[in-house]
Amino acid sequence: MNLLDNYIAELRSTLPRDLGARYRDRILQEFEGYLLDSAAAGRDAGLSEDDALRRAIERCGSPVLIAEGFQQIGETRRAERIHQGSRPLLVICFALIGFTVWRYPAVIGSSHETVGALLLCAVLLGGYGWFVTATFGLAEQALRRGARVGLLVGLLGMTTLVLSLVLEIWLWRRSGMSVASAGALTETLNEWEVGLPALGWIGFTIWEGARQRVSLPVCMATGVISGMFASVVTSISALGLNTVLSAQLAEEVWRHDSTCMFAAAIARCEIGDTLGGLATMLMLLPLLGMCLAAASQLVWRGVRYLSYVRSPGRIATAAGEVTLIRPLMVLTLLLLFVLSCTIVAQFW
Amino acid sequence: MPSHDYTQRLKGHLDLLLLALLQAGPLHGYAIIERLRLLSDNTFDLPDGTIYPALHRLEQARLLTSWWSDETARRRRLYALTTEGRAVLADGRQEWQTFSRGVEAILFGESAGS
Repeated sequence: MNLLDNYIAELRSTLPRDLGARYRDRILQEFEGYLLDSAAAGRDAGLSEDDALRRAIERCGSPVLIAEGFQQIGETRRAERIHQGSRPLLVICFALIGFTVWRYPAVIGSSHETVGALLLCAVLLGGYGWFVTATFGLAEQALRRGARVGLLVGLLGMTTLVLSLVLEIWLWRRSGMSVASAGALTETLNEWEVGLPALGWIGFTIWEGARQRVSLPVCMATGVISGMFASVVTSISALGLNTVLSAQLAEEVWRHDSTCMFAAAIARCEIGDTLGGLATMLMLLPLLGMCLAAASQLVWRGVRYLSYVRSPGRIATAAGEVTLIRPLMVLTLLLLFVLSCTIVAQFW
Repeated sequence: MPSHDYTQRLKGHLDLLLLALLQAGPLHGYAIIERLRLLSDNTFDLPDGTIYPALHRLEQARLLTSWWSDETARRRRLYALTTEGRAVLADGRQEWQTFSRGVEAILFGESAGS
């Protein structure tokens, strides 16, 4: 292996992995071209081949120093990959959930199973998903923090759901317990199943909102993304588990539920009922997250102001980020529109 | 003043200098580096390899665009200014003129007047 290959190999090993394999190859090709050009110039100036290459490598600088320069580019590219990958995935999730929601009769307005209604639902939820994901553009920091909280709480929700469903099945299978006692225990389990992740989510969102030294829009975006990830993960896990366990749940648990007790198809009715809750959660959690994060940030700033830790004049929104609040405003308006439609549909 | 101080100062203006070097037309990495060295009369002792992250950063910011050229025996990546890059360069020039006029007025104004 000659000097050039050694240098390129060293550079390859030091370049940040976040750049991606193809991009790293492009960089290495560019450096190889540069070194060959530089060495050719050295040869033209009268140097021997080895000396010319050695001088070119020397001028190029240490691979570690060069790799440091690419660090930020790598981070930005990673964020872009997350954005690009997450957007269509989440929009598909929302659209799929929207279609499913409309299909089940326990959800308000679902009795109108027309193509137009299906399309309207898909457009509403797909558009909602798009607006929510548009907040990804606010900041990488918001995306990372919000997604971390959302995923963590989503996984917590999934765990409590699994435990709750298993316990409910076991509870109703037990003989010797009255329907009233078992029903009351199921109620308590359901409260814990929802309450525990909800409390965790509220706590984490407030914490993330308050501890960031960032502008208000970024903070609000963290809340939106946290709410969205938490609700998407919880919804998908709830739908999946209810569908997989539907036969057992219908046999042991759902037939005692007064909501769907007399329905022709208990599983369909119960899953529809669950979907109604999930649809509401999907709509409300991002909005609630935005408010929580913003409120905690404002409280935190107030505390700082009062304790004179920092001058209040310096606690200002970064000028470049003011315009980024627009997607959040659009999201809020859309949410209000969807909620209004739901209320109107209920009366209708 | 030691030469490395110029290099440190250059870092804050490197992006603008690269945009300016590309104003005449597309160039590949080695040509940009050589032109920077030639036009600055070797004032800046910057490792050549550090120019590439700056070029990539400018491309990521959509101020530059790049493509592979197979016109010569060796494949080279050419860089060119985008419309946005031209606008940023024009703004940067304006800002630099204002800034340098201000600095020069203070540094040399008094002695020039006396």
